[in-house]
Amino acid sequence: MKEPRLDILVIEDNELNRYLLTFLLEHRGHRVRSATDGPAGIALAKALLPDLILLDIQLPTMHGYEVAATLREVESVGNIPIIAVTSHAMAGDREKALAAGCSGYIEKPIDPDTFVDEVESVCWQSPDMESS
Amino acid sequence: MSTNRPDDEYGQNTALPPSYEPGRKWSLRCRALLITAVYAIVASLWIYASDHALMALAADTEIFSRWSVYKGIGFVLVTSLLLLLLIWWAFGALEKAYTDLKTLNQNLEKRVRARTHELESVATRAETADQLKSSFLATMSHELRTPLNSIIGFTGIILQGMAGPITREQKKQLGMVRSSARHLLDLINDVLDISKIEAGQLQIRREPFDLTDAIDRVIGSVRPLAEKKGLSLHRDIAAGLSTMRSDRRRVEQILLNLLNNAIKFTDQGSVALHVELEPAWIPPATVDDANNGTSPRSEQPVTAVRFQVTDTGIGIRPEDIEQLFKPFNQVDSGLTRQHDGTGLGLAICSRLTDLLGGTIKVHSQWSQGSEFTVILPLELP
Ligand SMILES: Nc1ncnc2c1ncn2[C@@H]1O[C@H](COP(=O)(O)OP(=O)(O)OP(=O)(O)O)[C@@H](O)[C@H]1O
Ligand SMILES: [Mg+2]
Repeated sequence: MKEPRLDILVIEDNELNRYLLTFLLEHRGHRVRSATDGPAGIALAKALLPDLILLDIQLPTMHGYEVAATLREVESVGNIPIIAVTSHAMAGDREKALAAGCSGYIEKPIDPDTFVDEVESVCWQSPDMESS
Repeated sequence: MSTNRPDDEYGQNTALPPSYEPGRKWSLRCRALLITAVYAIVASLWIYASDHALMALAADTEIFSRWSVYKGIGFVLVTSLLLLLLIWWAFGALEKAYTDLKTLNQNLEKRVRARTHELESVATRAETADQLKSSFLATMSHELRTPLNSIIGFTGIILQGMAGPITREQKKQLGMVRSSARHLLDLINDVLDISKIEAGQLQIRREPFDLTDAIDRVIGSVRPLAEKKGLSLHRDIAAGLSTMRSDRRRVEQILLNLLNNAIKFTDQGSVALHVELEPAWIPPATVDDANNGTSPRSEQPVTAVRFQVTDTGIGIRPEDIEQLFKPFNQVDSGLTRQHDGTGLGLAICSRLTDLLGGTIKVHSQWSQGSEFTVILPLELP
């Protein structure tokens, strides 16, 4: 694989889903760390400064949009691209996710064939603020 | 049912006491007149007759005048007594009427308070029921989908060989698992959609979006199906169509359903989607409009978009067309039974077009093909 390996933080409460996302990303050579809820995810993001955050929207205690908005406020992690992962039929989720500061949006059920490509394209599309 | 009390109960409860009927007033006045007249006649007769008798009995005028005074005093005493009785009785009746009125008033107040309370509790109960319903639907959508998403995801991983090599038979069977899971997911989404709509919980968004993009997305997602069946799939969009202001997701859902049907019920030939502008379209009167009577909205022509999905498939018999938009309805012609589905697609389409302020119509020729037409206002008010 030519692309540089990405450091990815997965925030997802469902164990199977976390495993699924981790498996798919690791299979393509990315490094994955994960958190099971919003506050833990925010803390981990500040500590690890990952290249990308995959954020489940339906989280317990703290809603995904809130997590995204909070992350955007923090200077050190404010520029890390966030991809929202949500399930179908919540009308307007895409708009809400983008409004909350996410750079991308992937709908569940995720398609294992294309999922990692989608994630990578969002990451490499978004302007890399750190290098400028 | 507390809201459906019989009318006569209200009638009894709120009726005035009998002495307040208008006819009664005149009979009371007549009685007063009668009593006075009887008194005047009896008194005059008494004075006249007693004077005569006294005059005949009395020896001289002095005795006559003395007795006349006694007689007068006696008369006054007797009539005073009678007057007292009359006033006593009348005041008694007045007092009774007054207390009756007072208790009636109090009862009425109590009843109004009770009814108000009842109505309030019904309203709050309805509100809680609504909240329960919507949170139930939201929870269900999440809880039902999550495990399915795992099933679909993991079968995908294994099918791709990411978790190690699998045999051809295993691949075939896992493919079946995945397509069943996808089918189940579609079903759950449909059932949840229709229950959300029926519960009035579906929120329609109004946002500008590019019509061509939306149509291309829909066509792109059904193209593999059409190719698999060897059908040609056409798409033509009239010039001048760009931005629509409506609920993009729901518009796409309607078109997706219609195109999926067209492909599903066509074995050879073609399926096409035509889209054009309808410059002066009269929107249908909504339920609200019908209720308040005055509706400038239902009269004024607006700009609309006409979507037409045509196929060369099995068609629909005229007698089946009426049933088409009802939930869980599949035309049972023996032919269609070989296609899977729940019969929710068109029910959802028709409710969604309603919510988006549009109409849906079908034209079909049995064994020739069908044409579904959806007209939606370009700008959702
Ligand atoms: N294009 C068409 N040609 C012929 N028959 C059709 C067509 N579209 C719908 N029908 C008939 O109307 C019925 C109801 O359609 P609907 O989309 O509601 O249900 P379905 O496609 O059977 O199931 P679902 O969409 O829920 O998976 C179908 O079962 C079929 O009999
Ligand atoms: Mg259908």
